Amino acid sequence: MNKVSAIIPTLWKAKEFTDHLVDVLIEDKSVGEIIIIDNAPTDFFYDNEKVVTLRQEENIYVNPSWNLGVEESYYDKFIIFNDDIIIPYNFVSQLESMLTSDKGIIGIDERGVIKIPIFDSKNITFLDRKIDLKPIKKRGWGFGITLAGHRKSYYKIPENIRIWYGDDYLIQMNSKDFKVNYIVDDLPIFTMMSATSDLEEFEDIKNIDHLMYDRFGKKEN
Amino acid sequence: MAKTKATLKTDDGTIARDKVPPKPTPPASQVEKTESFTAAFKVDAHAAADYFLADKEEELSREETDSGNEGIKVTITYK
Repeated sequence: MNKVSAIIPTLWKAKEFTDHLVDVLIEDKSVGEIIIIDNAPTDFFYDNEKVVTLRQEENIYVNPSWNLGVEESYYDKFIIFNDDIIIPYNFVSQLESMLTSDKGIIGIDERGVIKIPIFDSKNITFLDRKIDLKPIKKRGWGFGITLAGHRKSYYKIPENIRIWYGDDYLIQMNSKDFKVNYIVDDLPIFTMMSATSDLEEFEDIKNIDHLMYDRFGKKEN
Repeated sequence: MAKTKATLKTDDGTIARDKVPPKPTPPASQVEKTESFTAAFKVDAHAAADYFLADKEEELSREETDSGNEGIKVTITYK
C-alpha cells in the first residue's frame, strides 16, 4: 500500500476537532505521517510515532503552512486538512489510489461540507464504501477544507497569499498544466468552518490576499 | 522562519477515543443539515432561505424564531 503524508496547520482554536482528526489519521493505514504545522506552540503534542510537529516561532498562516508541510513531507502523495473538521475513519485509504500525478488538485464538494456549531460524536463515521471524484472547472464554497493530490500537482503558493486563495492558486496552476481538478463526490465532511480564519485579527490579511491574488491572476492570465 | 522538526515522544495521552465502532458514512446528500437566516423583516429572512434552498434537493422543515433586535430568524433543515 502506498502512503500519504497528512498535513494539518493549526492554531488550536478547535482542539476537540483537531484531536479527533489526528486520531482518525493515526488509525488510517494509508497515512504514513501526520505533519502538524503548529502556529501557536504550547507544551502540548501528540504522542504517536506517525506525528511530526513543526513548531513555528510565530504564526506563518495557512497557505505558507501548506507549502512547508508539502516541502517537508516524505511521501509522494499529500492531503492537507483544516483543523476544524470531522472526516470519516478510513477516508484517506479510500482516496489514496486516486492521488495520481496526472490529476490536478482534489478538494471537497460544497454539498458535502456540513457546518456544525460544536464537535459532536454523532458525526463520527467509518467510510466502508468506495468514493467517486467529480471533475470541476472552478471551485465551490468549502473546496479547500481538505486538499489532496500527488506531489507533482502541488505548486508552491506565492508567499503573499497567506490564508484565502491558496486553493484557487493550486486549481489555476493545475489547469494551466492541463490537469483536471476534482471534488470528492457526496461525502459528508463536518466543520466549524473558519474557526480560525474568521477571527477579526485576520481581516487585514484577507484584504491583502485578495489584492495579491487579483494581481497574480491578472499577471498570469 | 524558524522551525523545529521533531517527532515527539511523550505526553499524557490527550486523545480521547470513543471505542464504539463508528457507523457507516452516509452519502452527504442523505445527511440532514441546518442553516439559519436572520433579517429585520421575516419576508426577507424567508426569501434568503428560499434563495439558499434553490439548488438543494429537499427541505425538511422550517422554523421562525424571534431574534430580538436583529429581527426574525428562519432556520431550515434540509438534505
